[in-house]
Amino acid sequence: MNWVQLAYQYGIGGAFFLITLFLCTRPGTADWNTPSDRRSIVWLIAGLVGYFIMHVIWILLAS
Amino acid sequence: MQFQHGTPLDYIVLIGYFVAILGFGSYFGRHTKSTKEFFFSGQRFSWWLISLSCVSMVVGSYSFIKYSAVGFSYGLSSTQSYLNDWFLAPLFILGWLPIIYFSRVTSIPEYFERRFDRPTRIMAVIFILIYMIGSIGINLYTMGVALYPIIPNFSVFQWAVIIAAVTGVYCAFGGQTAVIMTDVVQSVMLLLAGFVLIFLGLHFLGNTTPPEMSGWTSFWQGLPQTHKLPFSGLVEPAEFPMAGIFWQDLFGSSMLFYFANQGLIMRYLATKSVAEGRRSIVFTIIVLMPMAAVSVAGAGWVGKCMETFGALPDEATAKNIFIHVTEMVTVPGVFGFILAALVAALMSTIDALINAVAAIAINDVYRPFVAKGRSDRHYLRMAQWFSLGATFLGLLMVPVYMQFSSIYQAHAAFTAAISPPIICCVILGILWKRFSGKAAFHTLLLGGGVTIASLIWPQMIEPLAATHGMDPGAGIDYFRAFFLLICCAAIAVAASFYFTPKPESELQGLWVGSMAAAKRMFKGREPNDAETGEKIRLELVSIAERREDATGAVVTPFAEISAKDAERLKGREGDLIYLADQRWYLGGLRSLHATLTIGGEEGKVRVSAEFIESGRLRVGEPVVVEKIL
Repeated sequence: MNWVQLAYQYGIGGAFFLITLFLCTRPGTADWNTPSDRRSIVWLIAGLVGYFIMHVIWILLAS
Repeated sequence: MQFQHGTPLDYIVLIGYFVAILGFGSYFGRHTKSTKEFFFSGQRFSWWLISLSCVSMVVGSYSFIKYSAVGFSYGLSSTQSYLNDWFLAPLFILGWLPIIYFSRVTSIPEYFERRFDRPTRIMAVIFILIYMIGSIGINLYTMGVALYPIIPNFSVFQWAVIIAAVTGVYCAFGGQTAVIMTDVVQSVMLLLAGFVLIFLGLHFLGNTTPPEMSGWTSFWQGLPQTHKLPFSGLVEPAEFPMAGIFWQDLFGSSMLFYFANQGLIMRYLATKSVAEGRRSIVFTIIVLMPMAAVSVAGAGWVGKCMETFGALPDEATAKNIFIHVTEMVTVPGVFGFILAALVAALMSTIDALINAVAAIAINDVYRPFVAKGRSDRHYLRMAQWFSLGATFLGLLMVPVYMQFSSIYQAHAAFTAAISPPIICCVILGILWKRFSGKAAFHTLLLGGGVTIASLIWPQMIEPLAATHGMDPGAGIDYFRAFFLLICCAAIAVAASFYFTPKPESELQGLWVGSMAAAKRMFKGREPNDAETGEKIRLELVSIAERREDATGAVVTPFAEISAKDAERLKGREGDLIYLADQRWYLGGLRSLHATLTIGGEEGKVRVSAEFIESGRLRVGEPVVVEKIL
């Protein structure tokens, strides 16, 4: 099965994703009150969750 | 082994494709009259056009053959290289894209000078030009190598000449608009070609397996269990370990592509706004990359199923599976189309490189050092010559690569050597204001040195590979990018604490903590992006008088709109707005940016005739107006 690989990819990749997201949303950077920035942040998180769900379903289907 | 598949119909399709691409590129590039148009298409395009054009940049000349081989050997996990880019998205979408767009840099070296200093820029110019011109040659060479066994009527070099001639011509005369528009067509072609192959493959499987099994059932049952999974083993097989692919691909190739690829940067600078660029990258990574992953590897998956059901000839191997499957499932004409898609994958990679070389040659060498203060028309003419020159230089490299494989390997080693230091400089430049010019210079210099050392003494990487339980030697190459990024980051951090940082006032708009300043400098006034207004349709009215606004970083025309219409846009006097032809499918080809000024009749927008002409808009017809900033 692929659960270890899934944890590896989303553990390391997810940590990189969240750290850079944090660094790019500090004061003076992307602003939650700006609609364009807010939409981007929502899309970013939705995309990560979407990819994760896709991989989980894929592993289950292949099992 | 050699294949002889080309029928006259296949040749007609291939020649028709060349003629169509030349005509298409020339048609869309005919309005290029300034260097801004030549390199950035006037910053006018919609997200979907840029997204589509990017797919063909990602899919290179050898992708179909390489990923079909990987798909045949390791199954659906061949997609893992294409499906991990999202982890880089926050840094690109919220950091790099707004910085390059709002600061109006024209190249990576120019960013290096503004963010760091001139010596760092010069070093980056040398690195990037050698890398890109070498890459043009390598792409031409690999294309010749890919096409020669299929149609041996032309030699490897003759194939390279044919493709260089077609690509060089439309790049030189049409610039970025021609590149983007032809890449859109080529992206659609190569995605379509991959899906047509899969569809025909499933049909073939349905006909060769027992009647109760459909093509899809045959496909799923024909794949071994391990071939159905999304990832390969963590550290095995040694040729395709998941952990190695993750580090090499995500932190090596993908980072280089998103943060240091001049062609990609120019593509995103051609969007009409930062928001549009963000939409484009989201769509590219979430929708188009998975489609590309399926398209390039599908022939390998189908080939594996054919092998399971005994339908594959004995001489078929992973290396030639793409050609075997294509030959078995297609008919004359369709084979020519698949061949044209292979060529499209190459041409769309090369055209971006040619345009990028010309941009760096003009903006980082010719304009600042050789011929300062000349007219834009002069620089445009020189850009066209540089495009032809880059193509010619790339072509000259082909016989060299053919004769000396060590040159080919040297270029690969050189690319490996410059990638981690450049990536490291860009990322720390975006995120860390203390990272200074001298620190960046030393990172490029020493980081490049460490990389070369790691190529000579690969055992340096062994301890890192060993942390994953990989045998010494087997997985070392996969961990090189990770190892070098660690080394470059260590050099960068140490140098940053040793050298004095640049004053923060000189970094405004050039690092992620100064986005508000970036927007202010871009617009020339306080940004107005707290509210999103409507997109409204207004009748375009021409005025004879030239009325322009020189407050911002570039001159824009004034567009006069009634107070009521401005309210619907949520726009104020002095805001940056965008006027586009109401036909959405033009993707911004007919459009312009303008500065909002309040006045005039409701339902109408008044702009100077001269600017309307430059935006290729039509007077008296409705235009779609929206606020940008």
